[in-house]
Amino acid sequence: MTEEKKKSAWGYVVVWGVLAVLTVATWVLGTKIKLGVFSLPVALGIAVVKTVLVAMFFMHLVEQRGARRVVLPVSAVFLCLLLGVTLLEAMTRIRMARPDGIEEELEPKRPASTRTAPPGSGAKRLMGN
Amino acid sequence: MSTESSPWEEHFGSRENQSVAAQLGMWIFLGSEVLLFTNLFVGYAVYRYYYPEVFVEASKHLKAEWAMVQTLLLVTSSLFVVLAVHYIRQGRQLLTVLVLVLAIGMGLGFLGIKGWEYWEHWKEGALPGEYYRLEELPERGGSLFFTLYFLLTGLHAIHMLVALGLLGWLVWGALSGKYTAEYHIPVEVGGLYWHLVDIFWLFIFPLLYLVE
Repeated sequence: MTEEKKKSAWGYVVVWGVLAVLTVATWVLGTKIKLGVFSLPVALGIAVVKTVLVAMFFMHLVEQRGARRVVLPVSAVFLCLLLGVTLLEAMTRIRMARPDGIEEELEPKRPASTRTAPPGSGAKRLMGN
Repeated sequence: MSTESSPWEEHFGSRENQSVAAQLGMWIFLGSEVLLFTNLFVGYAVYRYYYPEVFVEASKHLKAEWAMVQTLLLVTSSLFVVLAVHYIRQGRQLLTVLVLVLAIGMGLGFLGIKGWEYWEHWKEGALPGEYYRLEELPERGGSLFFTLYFLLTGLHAIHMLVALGLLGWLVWGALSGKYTAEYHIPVEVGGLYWHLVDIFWLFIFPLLYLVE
């Protein structure tokens, strides 16, 4: 424990300072400065940087060895796989199979007076959707 | 050497092994927690893709500046928790108790703001699913946004409550002198849990509050 006695806590305070600055930066970029299409990648990029800082220094991942070091990155990989494949599926659906596309596509293209309601349209659906 | 009062278990073979096993167990649990939250984040991503405009409008009903204050509270509490680990590694029990109590105070502040926010949503009618009563937003997408909002922040708040209980238990243990420079495994693994709950919020904050 002798080497622990010498170790200073200031390193943690520096990491905290960076985290606080990044937090305020996220808020300024998200509410004051409009980044348009870049807002989501920038916000997520900052969140990832903050996560790496917390995991590496606050969660002591830098001093871990072996399996303890791999678990968190591996779960992040699975997160990306689940997110990526699901989004790919959602983005490549034909319009009719999308929740916002059902009604429009099922409506027959003929005068309203001769229309019948599409099946199931009267029923109240879960989550108001 | 293992007596009833000693925290060391003989079947680990060595103290080093016991510490490593406890930490690995905690990391595996944290991995499962990541996968639990992942499902909600994936649901969020899919519905944000389908209703981008509604999500932007719905996000304006949330209080982004208070969410920033909450983020700062959590980040600072994480600093105090890592300081607790730092001090207990040096065997300084009173300082450990002090920083843990500060971290608990910030966690309670976070939950206080959260509760006030929920109350505001209740008054406004910005509620999940079939309880959705907000007139300005289309029900399609709007009710989904608030369903995801309450699921994500609610699950996070439950985790906060558990983590706060854990920190309280660590304070009790440190006060009764259970943790020393040699034995402080519960402080280390308890701290890991607090930091992970913090990390989830780091993503919930921009995704829900700063939709543009």
